[in-house]
Amino acid sequence: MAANYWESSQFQRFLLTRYELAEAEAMHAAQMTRQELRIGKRLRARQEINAAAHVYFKRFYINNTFYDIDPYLMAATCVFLACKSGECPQHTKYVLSEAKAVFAEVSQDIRFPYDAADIAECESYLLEEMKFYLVLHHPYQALIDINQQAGLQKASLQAAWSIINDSYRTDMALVYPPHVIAVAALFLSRVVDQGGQPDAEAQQWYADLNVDITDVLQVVGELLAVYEVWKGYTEDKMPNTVSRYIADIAATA
Amino acid sequence: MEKYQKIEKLGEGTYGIVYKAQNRETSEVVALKRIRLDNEEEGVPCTAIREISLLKELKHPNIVGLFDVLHTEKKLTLVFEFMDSDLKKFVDASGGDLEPLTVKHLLYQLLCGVAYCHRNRVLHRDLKPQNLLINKRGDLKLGDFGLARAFGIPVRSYSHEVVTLWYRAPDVLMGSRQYDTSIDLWSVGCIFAEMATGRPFFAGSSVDDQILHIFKIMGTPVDPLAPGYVPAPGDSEGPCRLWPGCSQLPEWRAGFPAFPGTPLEPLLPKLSSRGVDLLRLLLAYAPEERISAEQALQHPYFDDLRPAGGG
Repeated sequence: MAANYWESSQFQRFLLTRYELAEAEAMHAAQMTRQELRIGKRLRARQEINAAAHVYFKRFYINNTFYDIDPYLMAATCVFLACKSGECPQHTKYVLSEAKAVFAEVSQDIRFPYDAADIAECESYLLEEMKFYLVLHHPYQALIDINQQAGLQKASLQAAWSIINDSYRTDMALVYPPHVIAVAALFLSRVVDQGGQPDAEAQQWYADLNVDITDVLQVVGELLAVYEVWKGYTEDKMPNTVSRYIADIAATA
Repeated sequence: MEKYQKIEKLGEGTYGIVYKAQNRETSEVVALKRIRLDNEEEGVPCTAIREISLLKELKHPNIVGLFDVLHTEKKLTLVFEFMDSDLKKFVDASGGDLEPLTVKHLLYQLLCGVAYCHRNRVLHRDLKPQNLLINKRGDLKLGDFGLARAFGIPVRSYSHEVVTLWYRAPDVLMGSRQYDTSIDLWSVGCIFAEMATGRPFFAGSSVDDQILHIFKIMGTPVDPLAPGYVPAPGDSEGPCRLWPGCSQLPEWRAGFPAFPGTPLEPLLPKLSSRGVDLLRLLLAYAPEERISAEQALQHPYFDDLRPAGGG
């Protein structure tokens, strides 16, 4: 489904402006769990399935709060659904046990008392919220497509691929089209490896791309900022932040 | 009360009962596909997830329209545009004797739908006459996307238990797991021949029998890359028998009986020579040689459907 991004639901319905996203984010705190990425990793799911789970999670909490549905349950459900839509279905029981293992690794404070029926029920809320629009366009395919013309060396391609992985730890997949993120990742990958493309040649190459270069630079900037933040981030604080945040909502509700 | 009034039961799909129904407000006639959510533990069936999510994105005159999805605790109802019949019933109703021009019109629409899917990186994987819906105006639309999948990177091994036996490509029958858009075009070829003759073209009763049915008509494929390959005299007259790499397929057997193949023309008396030529291109053994949907639409067989003088 990656050939027709401009007609896709992702572009027509789900692309947000920074402002819209900031508004939604402000409502449920900046601290997202990103646990779905870890569960997916444990299930050894394809990168695109992890990416989809992450986007589903974000889409759900744009219109809902952590107080409405426990984010840990939702994270596990997003992985469960992404496996189905990515045609690699996993049994609920397996997803549940892996999710439990992931949460236990993060902290003993996380409560996860759910069973298969809870996942199935949560899946129906998730499907309702997304109105069954589950097909996503990821920067990975865009990178492959670009590479068919650019013919990058393996190291640059690998670096760009990893940078795209990192991009899913931000919310930029909700704000920028996939090819913009792919081009930004490619651009950053030059730091790692010149890709056999001398600077002058590369300049011309980027100039010839039919992509909004201000958007690309914006993404580059956001990625660089995120790498900076990670230096000081430790995950063990996360459960605390989440529960405090849920308590805050409960107090005001 | 419910938004749709059931009129009659139409049949059973891959995973549920299909009803003809009417929208109480607009009186629009629709088809309802009911999926019971019995399995509390595994949630919505994977096939339904695939069908809904793909049809939500695919909008084309030759793809059945999905209007709405009604989701309740115990069931999921897909609201489709109503189609009067399917290609199987349509062929049967004609006594297996469709007008050549009707066959051409139907094939053209089928290829338009398939080309659109492939442009959008979707494989249908289960093309067969029962899944091709037809209305009274003669429009043909692809339906039942329960086995369809979006394809992309990385190329992975797909389940080869797809595509009803009679329409299954030989590479899939012989265990290839690297298949792509070409499998849909083999199915299109089989459907084309079935429309032209009124009977399934390769009607095997098991995987092995299906392979033999294909070999008897198309000739047993020959691998020019296999060690010890010697060009046989017959190879030049039937180049479609050459299939580089076929002897490397998991289910390939050196002991396959060597059929020379039969000429297609006598089997398809109602098909013009251009039609037979197109059929041969659709039924090419080597998947990479098989004509694409986009190319097939440009084939001279369809020349008389194109406005004179237009491109």
